Amino acid sequence: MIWIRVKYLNVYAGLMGKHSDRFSFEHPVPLRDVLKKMISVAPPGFKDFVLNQSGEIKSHVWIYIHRKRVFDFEREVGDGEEVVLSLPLVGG
Amino acid sequence: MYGWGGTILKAYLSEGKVVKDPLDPAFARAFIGGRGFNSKILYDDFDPKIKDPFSPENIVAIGPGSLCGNTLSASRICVSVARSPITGVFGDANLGSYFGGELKWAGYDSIVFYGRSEKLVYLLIENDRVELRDAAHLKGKSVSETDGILKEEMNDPEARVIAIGPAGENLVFGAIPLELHRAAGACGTGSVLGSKNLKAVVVRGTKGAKIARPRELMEAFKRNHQKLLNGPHYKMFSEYGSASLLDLFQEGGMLPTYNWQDKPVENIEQTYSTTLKEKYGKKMVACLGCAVHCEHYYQVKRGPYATHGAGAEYEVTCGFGPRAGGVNLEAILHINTLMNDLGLDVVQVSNWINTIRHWWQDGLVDEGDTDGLTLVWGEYDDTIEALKRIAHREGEFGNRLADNIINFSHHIAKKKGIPPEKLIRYIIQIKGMTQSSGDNRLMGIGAALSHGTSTRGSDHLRGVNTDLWLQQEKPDDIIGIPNEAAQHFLDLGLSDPNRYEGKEEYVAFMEDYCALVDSLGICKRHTAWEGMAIGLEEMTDYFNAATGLNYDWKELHKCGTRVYNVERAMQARYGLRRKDDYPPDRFFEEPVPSGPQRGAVLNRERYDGLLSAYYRYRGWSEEGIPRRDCLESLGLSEVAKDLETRKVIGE
Repeated sequence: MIWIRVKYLNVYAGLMGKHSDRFSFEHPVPLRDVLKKMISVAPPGFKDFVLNQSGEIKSHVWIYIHRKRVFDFEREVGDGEEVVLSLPLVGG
Repeated sequence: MYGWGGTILKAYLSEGKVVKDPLDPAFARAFIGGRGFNSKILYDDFDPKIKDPFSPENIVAIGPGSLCGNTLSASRICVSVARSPITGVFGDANLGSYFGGELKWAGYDSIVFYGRSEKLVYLLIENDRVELRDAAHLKGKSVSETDGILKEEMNDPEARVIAIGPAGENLVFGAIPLELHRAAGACGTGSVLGSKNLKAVVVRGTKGAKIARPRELMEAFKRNHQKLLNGPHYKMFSEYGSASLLDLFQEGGMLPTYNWQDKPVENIEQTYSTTLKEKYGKKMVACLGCAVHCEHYYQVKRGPYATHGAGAEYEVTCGFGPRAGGVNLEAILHINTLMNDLGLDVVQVSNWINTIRHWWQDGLVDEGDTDGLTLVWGEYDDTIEALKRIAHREGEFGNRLADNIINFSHHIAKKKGIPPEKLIRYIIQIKGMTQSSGDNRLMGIGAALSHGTSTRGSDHLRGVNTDLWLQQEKPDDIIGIPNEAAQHFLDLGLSDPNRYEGKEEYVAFMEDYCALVDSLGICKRHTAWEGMAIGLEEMTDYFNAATGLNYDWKELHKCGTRVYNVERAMQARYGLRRKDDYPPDRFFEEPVPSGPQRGAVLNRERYDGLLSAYYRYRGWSEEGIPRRDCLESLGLSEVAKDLETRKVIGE
């Protein structure tokens, strides 16, 4: 059993009603599977925000692991790693 | 004349009189409004040989963008322009809130202040009634006190007031005018108003805006409004404000900390926007007609930092948070309220104090240099005391630091026998203006160039704030930029933030885009600059419907190019050259020490090549000065002639 933490930044936290989650898996899994599990427990507003009509992750969902953006949803996520949901970085 | 108020107010403070000049339609069509108007007025009316920004010969022009007052979400930005005490050259600052719209409803496109009043005055505008009035009773009052007193005197809570606080009256270089909590941040135009003995402007306008094709405007608004609401960042800004950027920057490995040393900050999540919203946020508040409503109204109920107020933008939460090595959000909110009341610029003054903290860390200063204040990382009580002393020029430390961190560096250097360049190197600044909370090593090469070439000094608002936004596969995802242009940028390979080649086109495009946005009076938080949906095509729809003109987006964008070139020509007259267009040395010489971006640093040779490519693309000389043919192609023959007469035209 491994545990993977998901952190919801600002707008995601508002939609999810919490700042983070922990999900368990039998073994390291592709990022895509972490997102699927997360979305399976998410309220409708959250799903609408992150998924397009074809059920794919919208381009504005930026994901970081170890503070580096992950482009490849097949990237394997291991025990203790944290997946952060963010938005495209713009200036202030 | 549709779309504009039709009148420029000229306040001659030395003579105590105000003159109304009709707006020249050709001038309006060429320079659009707001920043475009005021920059050209400064170019035409101010003698660049006058070096002292506090000379009565300096002028301040304050005026709304041409779309201000149309009650479109986004259209309210008013721009204040003067020779800046911060940079010593051309400077300007944007003010949101309600003032710009109200001024437009009174029928005015700009107020230009000349000379210096013998005594403290304020300007009252009530439609056609315009008076300079004695302001002795406002002396020393805070921005919010001044606002309350003038509204009461007007007997009208809907009158709008911009005012300087004690900092402006005391000619603190980092002083700015504000409408309560909305600041015309950057460039210190508040101190120039103070030097003119002008405390405030109060305006009430009931004439409304003159719209050429109102039905068309409303239809365009409805069409575009839904796009705005559907954009991914709308929800973030409308619920969490710009403070949310701190979360994004930190988790994306981009947050500047400890005065750009980029070291880890413990418990940093205490400064996240979720903490702000959930612990201290009462509601979100909006500027005139704005659907984004990105400001928090906040309250700290008890304790040493008890306060309430509005704003709490990213620049204050970062500038007095991680950039200051601290995470005490209650103290940061207290500082926000205090600085708004004193009339101090959050970006500039946070940099002043954080530079001192950095010197302190390296053993270059101590309590003997700060009148006993301990300005170390994460310290708040003495920081609050320092802000008050700066605003009131209290003690040697407060008085000297009020003259800007570069002048303060020279003072410490002389006192301690340290070479001044050793101290100045710590200051993250370009052309004398210290930087907002972005890191040029990390935000993309286009952003680095844009900060370097900015006409008002280091500035994320002038063009590209980050190239990371271009990391998209489809032009549709580059929101707010016409598909044709977005596709062109993708074809150039610009989705790579670390690429140097080709960035000159994107930077020039965005610089002109921002000059146009500031001239229209559109808030950048609605535009491509911030990943939002009101782009060039949408702005063109609004402008045409309001004015009755029929520009296409390229013609309108060219007006931004014209404004940018006027500003550049103005800077050339003041003596700025290529050497002034570089990011700080530290970004070329100090790689990011740790974290996911470890080792990131700018390459001077490649930056140099990019800068040359940018000048060529712009039609400027190798020294960065506009050439005659460039200026003539923009209808600026008189500017070319002026530069030739002064022997500074681009060769």
